[in-house]
Amino acid sequence: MTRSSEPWERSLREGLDALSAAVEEERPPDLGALIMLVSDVQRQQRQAFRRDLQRFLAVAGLVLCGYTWASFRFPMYFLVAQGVLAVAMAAGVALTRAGGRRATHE
Amino acid sequence: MRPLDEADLIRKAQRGDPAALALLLQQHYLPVKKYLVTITFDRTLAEDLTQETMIKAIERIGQFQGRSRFSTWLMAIATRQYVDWLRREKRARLAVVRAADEQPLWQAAPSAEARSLMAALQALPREVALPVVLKHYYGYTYEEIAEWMEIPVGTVKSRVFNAVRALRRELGQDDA
Repeated sequence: MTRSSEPWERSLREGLDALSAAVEEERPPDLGALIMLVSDVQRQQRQAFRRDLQRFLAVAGLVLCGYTWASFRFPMYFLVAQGVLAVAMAAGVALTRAGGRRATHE
Repeated sequence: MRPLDEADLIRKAQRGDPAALALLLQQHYLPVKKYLVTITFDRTLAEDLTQETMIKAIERIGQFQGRSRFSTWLMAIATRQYVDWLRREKRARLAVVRAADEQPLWQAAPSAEARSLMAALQALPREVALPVVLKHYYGYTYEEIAEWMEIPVGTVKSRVFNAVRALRRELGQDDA
């Protein structure tokens, strides 16, 4: 805490002490509720991380396909096939995730 | 069994133990709320911001490096939550009106000087009152306040200087 040399500072301390006095009589939240909150937030973080990772891998895969196609001068149908495969994989992942969500809510 | 000390709880929490993190947050919940009440002058807002602070702390516990005390780290998060709230919603003016409509919480202050000083402090814009409280009630440095509020150190100094002058004038203690 700072020195309280000046009268206005003593008044400030007195006023803010009075302002926060009521909080000291309160009780903190139940530990069980806090554990649930922590678990929820951590689960959301893991889901967000997986989502970001999937997006990154999908974009990296498409870039790699394009680079391979351009480097090795594969025919056009190679690129088209890669695109179809990427869309199919994305749809597969989305359907799996949707199925998982349904299962957990049941 | 001996109770876990804070460093043990932090280590466990950083390894992903929800119970350790929950216990840590429970121990700091009321100090954070008390801190937020003193900087916002608004119990409802302080309650909301305390919960947001707890969520941020859960998300960022892995980033805590132990360079400051855990309580200081939480206060920094709480201050940023409040500053974000002021900026995001541009509610500085609204906050003054809202708080003014409520029964002032410092009415319980024993002296008339404290009550009039608190009224004067609350009448200041929130972004001006905040550094005064952080500097002169909590004793944080100008550099810490500038970092938390994401403004230059010079701006913090001038806000504190002008606010203190206004508060002194309000109490009739102005030297000028």
